[in-house]
This record gives sequence, C-alpha cells and structure tokens, in this order.
Amino acid sequence: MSDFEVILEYSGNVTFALIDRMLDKLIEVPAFKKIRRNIQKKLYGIFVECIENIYKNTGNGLDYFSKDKKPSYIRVGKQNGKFFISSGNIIANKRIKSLKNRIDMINDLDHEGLKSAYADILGKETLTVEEGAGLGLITIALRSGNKIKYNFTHLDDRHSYYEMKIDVPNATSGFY
Amino acid sequence: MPLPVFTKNHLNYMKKVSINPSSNTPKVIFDPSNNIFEISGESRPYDVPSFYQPLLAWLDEFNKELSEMKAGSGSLEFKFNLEYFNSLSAKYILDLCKKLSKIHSDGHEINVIWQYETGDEYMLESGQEMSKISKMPFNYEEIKA
Repeated sequence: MSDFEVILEYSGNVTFALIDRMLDKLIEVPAFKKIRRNIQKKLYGIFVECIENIYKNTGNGLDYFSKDKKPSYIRVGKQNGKFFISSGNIIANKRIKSLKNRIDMINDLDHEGLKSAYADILGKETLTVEEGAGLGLITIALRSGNKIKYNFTHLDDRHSYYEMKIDVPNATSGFY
Repeated sequence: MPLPVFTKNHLNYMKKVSINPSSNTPKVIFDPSNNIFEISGESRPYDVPSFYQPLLAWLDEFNKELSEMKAGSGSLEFKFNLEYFNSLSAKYILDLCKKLSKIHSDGHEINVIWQYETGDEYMLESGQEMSKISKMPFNYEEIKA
C-alpha cells in the first residue's frame, strides 16, 4: 500500500509575486516544518528552480496559458517515505527536443559529472536562455541526488504539456 | 570585528554600497572605510543581471582605486553568508568571485570567507566549486542554524 501526502500544492498562473507568496506558504506548512532542516533546504531549493521554470516557460502568465484546460501546477509531497516535487506547464513544441536531450544528458551523469557540467556552464561569459535552463536542471539534479523524471503530452501543433517529478530521499544520515 | 584598512583619506570617496535585504534579494555591504564586505541572505532577484552588474562594476572600480593607492592596503575581508541562491544567481556570484580573484592576483591581500549552515552540503560544495573556478582560495566557516 502506498502512502501519499500533499504538503503544498498550487495550480494556476505563476507570476513573480506568486513565487514569493508560495515560498512564504511552504515554510509555514506544519508538515514542512517537521522535516529535518537539510531536507527542507533541498526541497526549498528544488521548489524554487521548478516554480521559476514554470514562470519562465509560461511567460509570466500569458493569455494562452491561463486557459482552464491545462493550468500550470506545482506540488510538494511525500510518497512511500520519500519526498517529491512535481510540476507541470505548457511548453512550445519547438523547445521539446533540446529540453529532452538536456534532461537525458543530465540524467546520465553521476555527481562528479554533474559538478563538472555545472562548472562548465557557470564559467561562461554569458548564458543563452537554453544554457540558463540547463543550469537550473543541473542544480535540481545536484540538490536532489536523483534523476529527473519527465513527460511531454502533445496538446496541439504548437504546444505540449511538460511535467517533471523529482524525488528527494528522506535520508536518515545527516545532522538533523 | 575586522580592523579598518583604510584611513579617512583613502578610498573614502568611493561610495559605500549598502543594500537592504528583501524576500528575494540579499543584503549587500561594500564598505571600504570599515573593511566590511558582505553578501548575505537569499538571492533570487526578479532581474538577476540588473542586481549584480552594478556590484561587479563597483568591484572593478575598487580594484582600480586599490592599484592606484601607492601605500599598501591591509587585508580585505569578504564574507559570503548566503542562505539560498538560485541557479542564475550562482553565475553572478561566481562573477563576483572572479573579480575578487583579480584583486587578489593584482597583489592585494584578500580573505574570502564562505559561510554555510551545518548540514548544508550543497552550500559548502557550491563554495568549493566557486573557489576552484575563480581560482580564489576560500576559508569555510560552518554556522549552526
């Protein structure tokens, strides 16, 4: 039997102001406050990268994305003893190929490989939008110590729905 | 409390930087007269480049002033005490470290302190990466939550 607990969930448009409000909310949720501090920090960091991804992918809540059919979402929860963060948002089809390649590449790397990819992007003079997105994904992989699960669902000629899920183990070691 | 490095005659005209923290921007103090250089708190600004570019430009100007000063300055102390930074902020924090490395390689003594909370391995590792890439040695300080 699987246990499933939602710690925080949001569905709708993501604006910059909303990110602040969601973070304020997250740290006040009793179920979050009970979590060990080092896991809290991991979840907080991954939550920011995921919600900023939604914000960037959906252009600060453009009209198309505010349609009721497929609103963006972000969820922090616990399942089978592991914490997770999942998110979903509409994305332009033309971005899927490079994004998919990037996640696959990141998922193939071990911790040292991720650190080296992180250093490569960070050391560049300027970052393209895609490199910026890549840096966010590498950060998620480094913070979680896990693979990024993803899925794309075709919506129409121009858009798909992009979902991510990241598990964060509730390690028994650590300082807290 | 670090000792003041500069007399009133030196570098006093360089405008001190003092930015109050907000929910998404860190507190910043660049105060040469009192040898206090510190970035602390949370960094995920609305416009990351616009937040950091003036700080980078300030450090360039500061390095120029230091180099023009014939009398040697004492050791500068630069402290990072970040609770959290997002991935794009990391790029600009590294750029700051590169500027500090330049000041260092231009012959000015500088002590970079990278503070991290007990158990926050990510923050410690980030500091180690920043130090390695920027070629600027850091001193690490663990802080109890």
